[in-house]
Amino acid sequence: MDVESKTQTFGEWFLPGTNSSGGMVPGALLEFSIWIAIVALLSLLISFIVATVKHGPARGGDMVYKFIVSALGDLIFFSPKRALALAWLAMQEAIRRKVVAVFVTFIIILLFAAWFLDSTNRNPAKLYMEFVLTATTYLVLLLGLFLSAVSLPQDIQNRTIYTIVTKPVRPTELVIGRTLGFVGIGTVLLALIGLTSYVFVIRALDHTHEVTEKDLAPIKEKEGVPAEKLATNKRHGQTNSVRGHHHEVVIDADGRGKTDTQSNHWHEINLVERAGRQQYEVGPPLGQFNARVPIYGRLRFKDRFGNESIKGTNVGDEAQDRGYIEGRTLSAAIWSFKNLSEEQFPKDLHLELSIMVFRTHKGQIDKGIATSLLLRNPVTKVASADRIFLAKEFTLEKHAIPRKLRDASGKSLDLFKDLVHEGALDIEIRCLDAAQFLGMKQTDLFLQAREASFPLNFVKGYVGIWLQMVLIIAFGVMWSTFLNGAVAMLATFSTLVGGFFVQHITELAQGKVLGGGTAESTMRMLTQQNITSDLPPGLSTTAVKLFDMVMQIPLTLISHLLPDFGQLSDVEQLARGFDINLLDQLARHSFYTLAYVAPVLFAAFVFFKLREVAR
Amino acid sequence: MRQRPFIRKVIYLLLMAVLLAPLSLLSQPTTQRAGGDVGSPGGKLSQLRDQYELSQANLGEIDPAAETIRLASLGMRGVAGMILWQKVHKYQVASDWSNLDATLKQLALVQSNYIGVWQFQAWNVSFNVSVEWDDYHDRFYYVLKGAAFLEEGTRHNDKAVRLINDIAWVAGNKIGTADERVQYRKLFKERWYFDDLFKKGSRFLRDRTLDERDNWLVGKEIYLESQQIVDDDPLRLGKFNPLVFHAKPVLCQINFAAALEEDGVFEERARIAWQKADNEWSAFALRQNPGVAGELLRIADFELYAKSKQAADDALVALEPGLRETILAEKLAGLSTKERQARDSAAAARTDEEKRLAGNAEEKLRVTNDEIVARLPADKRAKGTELAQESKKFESWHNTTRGDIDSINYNYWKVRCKAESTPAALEARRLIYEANEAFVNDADLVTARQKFEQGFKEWRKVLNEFPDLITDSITGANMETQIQHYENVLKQMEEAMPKNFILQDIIDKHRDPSKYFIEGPEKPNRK
Repeated sequence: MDVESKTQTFGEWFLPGTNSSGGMVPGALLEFSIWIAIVALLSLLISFIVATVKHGPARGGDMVYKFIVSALGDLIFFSPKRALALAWLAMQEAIRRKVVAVFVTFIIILLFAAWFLDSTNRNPAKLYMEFVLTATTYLVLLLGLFLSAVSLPQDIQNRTIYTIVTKPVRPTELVIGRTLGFVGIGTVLLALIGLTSYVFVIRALDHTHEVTEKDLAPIKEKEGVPAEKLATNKRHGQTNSVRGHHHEVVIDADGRGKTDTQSNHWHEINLVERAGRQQYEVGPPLGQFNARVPIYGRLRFKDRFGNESIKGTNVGDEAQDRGYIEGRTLSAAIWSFKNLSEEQFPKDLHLELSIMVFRTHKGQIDKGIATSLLLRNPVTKVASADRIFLAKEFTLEKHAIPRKLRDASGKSLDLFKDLVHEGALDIEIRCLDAAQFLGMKQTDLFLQAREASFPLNFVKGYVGIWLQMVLIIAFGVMWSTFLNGAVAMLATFSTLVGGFFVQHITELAQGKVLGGGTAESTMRMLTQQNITSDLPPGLSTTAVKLFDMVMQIPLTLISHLLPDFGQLSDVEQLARGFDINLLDQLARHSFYTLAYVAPVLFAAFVFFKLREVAR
Repeated sequence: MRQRPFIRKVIYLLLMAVLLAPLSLLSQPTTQRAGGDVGSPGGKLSQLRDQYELSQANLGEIDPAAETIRLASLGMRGVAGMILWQKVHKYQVASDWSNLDATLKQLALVQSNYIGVWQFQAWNVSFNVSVEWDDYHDRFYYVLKGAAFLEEGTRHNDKAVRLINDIAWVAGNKIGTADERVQYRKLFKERWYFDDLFKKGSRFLRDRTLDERDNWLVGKEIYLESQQIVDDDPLRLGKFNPLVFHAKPVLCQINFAAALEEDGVFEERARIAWQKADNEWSAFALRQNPGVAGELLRIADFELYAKSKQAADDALVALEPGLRETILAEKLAGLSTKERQARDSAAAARTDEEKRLAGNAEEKLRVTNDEIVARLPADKRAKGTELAQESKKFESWHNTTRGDIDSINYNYWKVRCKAESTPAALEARRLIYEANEAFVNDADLVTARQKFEQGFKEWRKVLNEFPDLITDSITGANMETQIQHYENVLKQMEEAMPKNFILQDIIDKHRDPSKYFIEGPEKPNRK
């Protein structure tokens, strides 16, 4: 998911509007409706044509009409009670199939995870969470696939289905009942896996360090602080090294202190008495599991002459996702925030940022690049004095900006009275070292009004996985209504694989992939040509290009029909310590899933109804 | 009839047992005795593993993680490796360092016996990933992380000389010659980075005093380790140039001595370091290096080879006194008039044509050993042939050794070590260091000038004792920089360079007017 869509609200995504470059976007609601309507109309048309070919137009038309009426009846007289009874049966069947093996597999994976996971990593929480969430996703999706795609065909093959269809059960109830049953058992397993994962991650990253008296020394000097003003009773030193990191510690006269932040966490230290001896006790890691609730602003740049521009300078960074500003020029990066209120920030304005540095000359090698940050009222242009600090890369640096500020002339300012105008505020970053550059993108700076609950965020992350599971079960049930077991499984698996590569398929359909479509890339492989060189003109080149062009039509259709599983995954966001927004993200995911599940189950019902067994 | 299936089963079982026998012989593992001695070399597979330096040849050294990952990839190890390489690149482009580290770990498990993988990715981390960070502490961390990756590689491929050499390179040259070397060398003395990054038993975690915890000395120690492996089994040298390979530990000692002075450490410690470098460089000359035909030659014998050749030549001439002169007279008679005139003319006054003719004449007048042998009486020819061959052999050895000497700049380092350990050089270095300190830190122009001038006087003494250094470009460039700093001081005092400057010969020899500019001295490191 790109930055743009991460910072979109549900409303912006759901309803028609304009995008950042001013173009019209139809919104998800309209887009889904159009596609569902197209598929429904096409299905009707195909049914009518098939019936006409078989039985003539009059009888064919009549059959389609009767089918629609009967289907409507099935929908209207749908009995939730019977569906739930069938769901219960499906769950029992799943248990008989020993689905619990999935949980056992997961436990085995976790037991040996430590062999492959790097506990000395500088961001272990992210690594561990990505691992458990990815493993869970794959396992649960495979479970959904096996359960849903095999069950119905096996019932039909064993003729056990007759014991159900001979009873007053409607096909809708059967389809929905099965789906609910599989979702139910999947949910229980997912909950178990989720709980185990949570315990695993917390326990695996739990550690402590040792500090002894000989590791500590009185603080004698500190940059910029005269020796006589330093609190001489404070001591500093280092902890021992555990899991590839150690901490700097500062301890007060009363024996209490804290460490610096390393590997995204810190510890508290207390002096305790054990067996008559006083020793320092380093507490558990703190602050490594976050659920930051960020408020993003819109980023724009000023070039070296002070002219507004959307992009910053390009310094040749391969990733090309950041714009750069030049030092000691009028170049600046400005984030515009909206809807800020005093209630959100009753004390300080909490800001987090990460800045990339690009040096065009060595400069002072042991010093960072000086950066200034100021707050500006977007209407009155009143601005706070520069806040100067050294740029730090690849970590989120925290800044607490007090409510009472001063402007450059020393006049005092109030953050919300003088700088925030009807909820709007501009934050401006400049580089102070000549011929050095600072790089940033929109999400590199955000305000943090509050910290959400991490366990809850973890659950929200699992909801994303759950939605993917529901989706794959719906597809599995649909394919299994008219295909036999192995083929249904293959079809569901293809849906899953296709769903993971929707972005790529879309790019293929639009002809945007470097190296061309399937035929062209095959030709390149066989003739050992790289993906950027032009193919020699000739008949074969024209033929492969034409083939790929024709293939773009079915690919376009597939790319619109396949669900994008990546859309539903918030793994990275959760692992990076950001809150998953209930409305903007989970509601969007839920709508997205529903938009697929409803028509897919309807199709399942139609296919099943058309089969002999259901009549 | 009923017995038939039973008999068939028995036959199958017997066949299986027969097939298992060679398999068991093939795959027998190496066993180790309590003392660490190899008990049995194991089966063919085990021996092959040993031959190709796959360290899992011994039971009990199997890395379960690497084996599991290989098993789990179900023979698709190549594909898995390819995907992981792509992922490494993707994470590198996206600056996702935590995932890059994690992927490298997996890659190493998948391709743990490919030396190239360890080398490439370690280099990638030490050189490419480290520079992505702006804070030099982070850069240092990633430089060492590359070394840690290499060391992990040696756990999977023990005695892999290439990997051990690369570790030494990172410890020595990467840290010691970086732009940030002053900061890096300081950080190298702190244990924390090593405790964080290296596993128990690491070369970097050995007990060392603070003075011993110098990047050059640690680099030297690791080079010596790889040298020992090659000394035990010369085949492990692989494609390394033996001369360059064996010179590395001594060059580390030389760099250590030079770095000490850069850090502001002079007098006894520096003198001992230079003295040691000198001794080791002399000892290096005693090492036997393979020549063109596989013969073992020593740099120290360079002069001896020349003398031996001369002795053989003299002996050949002495076999038939007057023969050489006769041949020469004949050759002289055979010259054309123009050639003779050109040869007789004064060398300085020759025209181009005369120079060419004189050159031709000299070439024609050269009496070769073969010519002498051909004209020897029959009874002396066998002896003559023998002497001519001996002369040829020593000439070839002499030439090869000269090539060796030139290729590693042997003479320069020899003179440098000797010169730098003299009291005058140590004093000169100290004075120049103090001059820079006075100029940069205290802005004390008078002291700076005074110290520079005293320092140059000491340098003069050194150059007079070792005149070879005057023409040497490395020494020249080094002194030229010091002179530029001195000029800078004078400029600020609004004074011109003194006439008859004491090191004018260095300026004349080494100053490149096209590149000439004056810049301030780099901020020297405080001790």
